[in-house]
Amino acid sequence: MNSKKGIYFTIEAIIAMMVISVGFTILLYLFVALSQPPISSVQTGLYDVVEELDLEIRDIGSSEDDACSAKGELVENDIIIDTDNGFFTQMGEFYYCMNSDNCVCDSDCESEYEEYIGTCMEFFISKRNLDEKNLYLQIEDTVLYRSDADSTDNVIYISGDEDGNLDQENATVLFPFRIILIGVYNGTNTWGPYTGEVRIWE
Amino acid sequence: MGISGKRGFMFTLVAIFLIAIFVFVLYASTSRVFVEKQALDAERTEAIVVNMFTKHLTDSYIDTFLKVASTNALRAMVAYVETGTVDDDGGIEDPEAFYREIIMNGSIESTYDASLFSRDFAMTLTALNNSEAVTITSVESSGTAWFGNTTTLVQRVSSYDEAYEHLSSITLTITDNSATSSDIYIVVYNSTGQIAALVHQNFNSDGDYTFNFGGTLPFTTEDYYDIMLAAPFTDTTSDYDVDISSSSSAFDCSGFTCNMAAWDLSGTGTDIILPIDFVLDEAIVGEGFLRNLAGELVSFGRQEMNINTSVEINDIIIDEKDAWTIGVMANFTVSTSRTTVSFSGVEADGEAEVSIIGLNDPYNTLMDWDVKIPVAAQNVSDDFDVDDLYRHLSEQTFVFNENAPSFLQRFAGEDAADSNCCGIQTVLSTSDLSAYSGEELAYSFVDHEFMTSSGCDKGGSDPTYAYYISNEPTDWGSAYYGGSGPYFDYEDIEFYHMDEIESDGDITIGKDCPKDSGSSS
Repeated sequence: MNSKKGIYFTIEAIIAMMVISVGFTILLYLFVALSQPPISSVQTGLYDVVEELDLEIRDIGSSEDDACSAKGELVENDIIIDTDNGFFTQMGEFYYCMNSDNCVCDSDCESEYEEYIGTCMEFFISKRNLDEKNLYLQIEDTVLYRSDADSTDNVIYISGDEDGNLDQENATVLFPFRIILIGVYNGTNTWGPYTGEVRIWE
Repeated sequence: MGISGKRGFMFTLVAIFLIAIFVFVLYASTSRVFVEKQALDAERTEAIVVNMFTKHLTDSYIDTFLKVASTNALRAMVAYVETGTVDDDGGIEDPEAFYREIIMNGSIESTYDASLFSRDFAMTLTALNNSEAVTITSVESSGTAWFGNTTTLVQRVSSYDEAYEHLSSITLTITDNSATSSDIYIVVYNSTGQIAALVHQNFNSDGDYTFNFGGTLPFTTEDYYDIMLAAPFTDTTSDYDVDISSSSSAFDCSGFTCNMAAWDLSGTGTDIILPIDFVLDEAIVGEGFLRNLAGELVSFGRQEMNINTSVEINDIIIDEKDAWTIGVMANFTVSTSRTTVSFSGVEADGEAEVSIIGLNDPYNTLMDWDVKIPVAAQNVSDDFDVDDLYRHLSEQTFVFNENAPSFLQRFAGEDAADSNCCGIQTVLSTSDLSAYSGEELAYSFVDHEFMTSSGCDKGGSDPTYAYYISNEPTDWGSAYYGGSGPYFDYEDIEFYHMDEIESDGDITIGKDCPKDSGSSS
């Protein structure tokens, strides 16, 4: 009789142990899974964005309506001279033109080339469906694009969805990547090197 | 409590104990997995960052750097021949090798002709003690010296204290004398004669100029640097005044070695490695060439990404693609590393194309007629008509000709070889050849043939002629037709479809030997 009770207690304890273990395992899994920062997706996102920023102008868009594409207005008007330039490198060249008197412009080079950067950023962000991503692009101290910017920020291009994106300050994971930008304007003037920065976060 | 109650209690305790052990083991193992995953994520991040940097380097940076270096180098070569320091007759002996050297180093082996001996000049020389800049000497000025195309100032320095680890900067007092260029340079040569640093500044107004070496020059008591102050070559003899210490008193460096450099500056010049920047009207800056750009990349990787980078340039190949484009290819070996992640011995090829359009043609600069004709390309097609011919003559456009030298070959001057793939030529105007007279003007006006042609001879048993456009085509300026107009070897004008143009009745071709004393044809 006593040994039966003992066996009963033991079986009861083992069953309890199994129930607790399963519960604990589920809790632990949820804790690990939910508290784990989305590192992999941010890593992949950063890799993809940097790849896309390297796309040559001639490979981005083919419509005449795409201002910054190989058939676009800026190429047509010789504002973009070398379509072999990667997109971010081209932004570097525009940045150079904003701060130099060596580029073709009508009167105010700084505002003209700032406008070109804005036009190209709008085209690129939209064309590559990057407006859903938490993204920040900067050359030296000039911010070209910030997905978390609002109209009060000093950013060249702000996408339409001002409130839909997560702020950098509230990000769980943020990865920066820096790129050296250098080139030749119109086959004659060397520009750069500038430091470009890409940030992705979630 | 009975025996059975005690046993039940014992069994319960054992069960609780087992549960505790099980939970602990489960927790420990899960935590370990969690920590390992974090470490793995961190390592993966490292790997991705290094991989992205390396991929960017091999896919993008190398091509861009090659493009920048080869564009700068070609511009530098043109500027170099325009200084007049190249032998007119021979030009550059091996233009391809010369081009490769400039792409790589931005320097040339040449003679720096200095007619005045170097003097000590007023300066403040600072060194780096760890990160602290320390003034190691400061000398008042009491006179002036000038420098320009014939004079330079050289100072030899070495450390007198082992505490000073790096040469930091030098400050000079410079005033404008008759500057034709605002570019001033400090070049630092090491004791083996190699360029260790090149710092450029634009001269704005009279005053002190500090040239920073950025803590990159190791400073020891056992070795020395020669610091040379110079400006681009100009036609004037002096560009700037530089305040110097009295020549009668020794330059006092408070105990450290600062004797004057042992350059041979007696007036005949000496062969040294010169930065190509010296010959340019505007600064390319020393960083604009491949070796320095690779150094820039290494520095960028270390400072911005904490990645140790090594870039070795194995080979540079020049390949003229067509008459108007020079292709430059280079092979690199790249290694990158950061903490636990490294890529080593990655082979990468870079490729760049440089356009020659707009650059002054070196051949016409080097030859005795010394004219600067910018390259404007004109294609010769089946539709080439009389208007195209007029444009070719009046605007001095360049056309392809396989019997002519390529743009690169044209740096060889009179010795320029022809190029099947990429030969270009233009026609010299009468004004280009204004220094010539007599029989010489019986030569072809085609640029690469003017000096090599034997001229025409209408008096011999087998007469040869030069050809010209003899009638008066509509709207043509008189300089391009008639007895005084440009003369052509017929073979060279044949590809312009002159026959067809003539048969259309637009022009008539005449032949003659102008200025020749032989009998008339």
